[in-house]
Amino acid sequence: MKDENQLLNVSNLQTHFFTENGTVPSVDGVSFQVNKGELVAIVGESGSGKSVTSLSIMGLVEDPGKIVGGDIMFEDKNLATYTNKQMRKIRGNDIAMIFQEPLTSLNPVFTIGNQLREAILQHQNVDKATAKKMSIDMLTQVGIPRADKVYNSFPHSLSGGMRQRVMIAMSLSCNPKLLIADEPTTALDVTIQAQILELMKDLVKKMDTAIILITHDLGVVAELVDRVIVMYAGQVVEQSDVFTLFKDPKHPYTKGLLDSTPKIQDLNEELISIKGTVPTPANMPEGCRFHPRCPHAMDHCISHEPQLETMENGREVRCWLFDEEVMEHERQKSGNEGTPQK
Amino acid sequence: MSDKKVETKEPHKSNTQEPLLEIRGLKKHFDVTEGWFKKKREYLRAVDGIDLKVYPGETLGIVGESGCGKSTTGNLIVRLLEATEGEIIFEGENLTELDGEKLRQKRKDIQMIFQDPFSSLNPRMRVFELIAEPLRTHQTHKGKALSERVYELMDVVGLSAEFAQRFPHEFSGGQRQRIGIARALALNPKLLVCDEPVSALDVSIQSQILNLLKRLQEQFNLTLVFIAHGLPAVKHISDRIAVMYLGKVVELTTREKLFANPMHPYTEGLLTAVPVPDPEVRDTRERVVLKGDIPSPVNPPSGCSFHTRCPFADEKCKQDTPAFEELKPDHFVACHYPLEGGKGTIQRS
Amino acid sequence: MSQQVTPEPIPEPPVEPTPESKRRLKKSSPITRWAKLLLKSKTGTVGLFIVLVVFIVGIFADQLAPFGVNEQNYANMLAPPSWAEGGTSEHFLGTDNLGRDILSRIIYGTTISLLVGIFSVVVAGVLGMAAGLFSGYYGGWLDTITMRLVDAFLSIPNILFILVILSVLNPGILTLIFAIGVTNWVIYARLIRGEVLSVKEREYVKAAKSIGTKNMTIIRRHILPNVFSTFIVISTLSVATTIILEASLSFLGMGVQPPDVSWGYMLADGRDYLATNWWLATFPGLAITITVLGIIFLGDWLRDVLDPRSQGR
Repeated sequence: MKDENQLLNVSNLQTHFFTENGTVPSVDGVSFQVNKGELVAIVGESGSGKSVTSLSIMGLVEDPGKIVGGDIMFEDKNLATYTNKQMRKIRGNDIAMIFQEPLTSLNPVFTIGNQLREAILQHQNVDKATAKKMSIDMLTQVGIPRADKVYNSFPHSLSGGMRQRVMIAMSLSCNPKLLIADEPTTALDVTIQAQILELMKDLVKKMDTAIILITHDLGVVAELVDRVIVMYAGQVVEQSDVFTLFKDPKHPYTKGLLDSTPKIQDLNEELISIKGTVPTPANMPEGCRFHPRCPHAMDHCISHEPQLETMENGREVRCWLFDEEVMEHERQKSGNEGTPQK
Repeated sequence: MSDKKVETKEPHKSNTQEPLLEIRGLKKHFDVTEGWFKKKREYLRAVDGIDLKVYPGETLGIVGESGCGKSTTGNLIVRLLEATEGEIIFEGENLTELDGEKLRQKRKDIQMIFQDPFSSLNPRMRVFELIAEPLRTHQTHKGKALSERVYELMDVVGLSAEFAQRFPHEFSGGQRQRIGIARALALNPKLLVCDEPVSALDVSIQSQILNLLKRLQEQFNLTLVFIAHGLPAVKHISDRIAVMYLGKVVELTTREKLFANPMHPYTEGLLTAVPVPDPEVRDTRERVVLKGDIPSPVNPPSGCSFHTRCPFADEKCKQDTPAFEELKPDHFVACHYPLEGGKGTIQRS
Repeated sequence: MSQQVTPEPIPEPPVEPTPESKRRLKKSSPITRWAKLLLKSKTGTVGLFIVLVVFIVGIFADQLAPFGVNEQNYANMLAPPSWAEGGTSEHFLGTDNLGRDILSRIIYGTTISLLVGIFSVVVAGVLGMAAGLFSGYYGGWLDTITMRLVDAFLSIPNILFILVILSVLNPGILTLIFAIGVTNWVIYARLIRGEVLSVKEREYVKAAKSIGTKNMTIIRRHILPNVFSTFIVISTLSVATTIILEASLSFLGMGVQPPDVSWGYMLADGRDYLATNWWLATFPGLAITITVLGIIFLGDWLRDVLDPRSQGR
């Protein structure tokens, strides 16, 4: 089954948080693959588990949280079993990450150059002068004007967009095989976001780094990625290539998400929302987790949890609407009303 | 404007109508001088001379990126901040001159919905108390009438009455924003200033709140000032939209004209910067990516403050500040070289 | 402009309460809820138990003490505790250098230690809270003056200041409470002001202002409840330091005057005998430690209970 091209294979990942109020299964059986050089987006709203999934891959899940099951195969290493010390060699070297808030991810007391150079020195076998040259080179590559000047400045003196560029430079400085970008443009202004997206597009063409983009913004997804994984309440609900997904979303949640994303060119579209709210782990619905908000929910959905089923073109959907047997049953039921199920 | 349009009530259309709110030459400068002995004081020009009119029943959208002064403007209107200069005239009365009890009474008519539903509700008050607070403050309702009014408000914003005795932390962002809206509506205001009311919410919840606001506007005949950082959020709800950049309004027109034919290069940049949720067009669609960063409002550029990022700027833009003029009917722009008839074509006036 | 013509905004169903919330709606009375929360927290229960015991002892000192405060037993001076080597069965915790029963003196001392500890904290707390609230909320000249005053107070050593007050006024319990109160308020003022500065910038305070809420109401309903947890923390720690402060003052002869007795006084008294007769100072010291721990535990629990986020757990 193993694909030559495959870089990352997450299977049945379970990350739970053990709080005073009980166990919170933030990531509950998530599986997906990322190929070499591929751009994948994980889309979801707050509480979907998308960020925890990425932190699990990086081995950065904080204390009450723990990976309790599943494998994270990166090339031939199972990161789920790695200790913190082992992970430190992977992080920055093979897998890098950029965060939403670039200010908090840079140390305020060191210059940009200092931090970049240290990152390079830590992972690559070069001398200081070369590291400095490489850093300035990297800064120029991410579109920072007067890179040698910025090299000597402190993080607080840069704007949000510039800081995010620095973060991208830093994360790419060691040619990682995988880059995880957690909402990289959410904290930025629209016109600056456009700049960063352009930059990421350019860089992707130049390097063969695979990217996992974590986001809630389907607009950003459409601009950038090849494949989309949609998460809801700790599970993957749909997985497809980007073109098919936007043209023909299968899962009602994906459809709702697409409908509620504003389309700027269409002035008169109707405002469609998904009713209700994202369930909290304390009151996770039984059966399909989306059923209380789903416009197509059937009796079957209330009591039976659907599995992630593969459809044509390697597409995956977690929904009873695409189960022939269940649908046949439902049709019969609505045919002769009053007949109790089972 | 289609004919159909004229039949439906269209408040802002007629310029003869008295505006509900008029802002004249409004300025707010914050003193950011550091140290006691500096001779030259430094000011952050958050709002630097804006003029706006808001007509009864309409929604005016105010859009701009961080540091453009949109939130400061909102705070000035509800008098959470004192203006440095200029007038805010509400129903013929200058708000900047009001104080004490008179101001307190006026506040009933102008209410605000805040951006962050997590910090705008006192965590130690129950929903009932939160919604009752404005009613108690102005002693409009008492006893049984008070609780009836609170439950009515909860019903209006779509909150089940059973929630009344719960604390804000037990709710999701969207539900909290509903509580905030109920509070704002409690005193039957005429003007509602919405300061980015949906930007902290999940996408699927945003449209719920927008729909709710729109319904309430019709139901209670409200006038809305709707502040947002991006055009998508104001698209649905606004009749007219003002685009702000570095403390000034650079373009003001109807929603249709703004989206179809933006005349200020910044507006066009804002419009095309929004990612389009359609992967098919990602390599083909026209896009103006504005270069550079937003300058600091402490040291705004000379002349047209947008010239540092404008693709069409020349010497004139660096020296002369463009006037904010009605270049076309109902279309105000502050630009030496406004865009004309589609994207990217310069027409020299 | 078909925006205006769009038929109906999509009707939204009211948000339904979850089954969980329905269950929670059947709210029990506040007292049973507090009791439940108390039993859930082990330290809270222990704290309350200790504090209750100390209070009862303080109130019923006369009935509980086996001997009088200054009743001397010349036959048994410096007797070790009854359960130690050479102890007499009469005196459970032994006797002091004048043959007074240590247990009885601790019991009598409870009253005064508690009175001084609690009331001076109340005086300091009320003064400091008011100063912190108003100077933090209104700012401006009021703030400048208050804070310079605080700085002035902080620059003088606490104990020196109290000694001056005590020597001007007649030493006694009331003077002691007053002296400690008016010197300790600065700690509250400083910390509360800091909290107020952060709380008043929160959006719900702005929201209250925009409604037209009066300043005093904002302070009472929005600021005070949200700085209260800080207040509780300082207060409980303060009770501890005050009891110890009273001990130092008594040691210097400016605190509790004989024939009254307090734990601090006993502690000071017993210091000379620490090497030879350890029980003189150890037991009053233990009494202080246990009481202070109890108060801190109770304070921690109280802070949690007052936070609505802890409810319904």
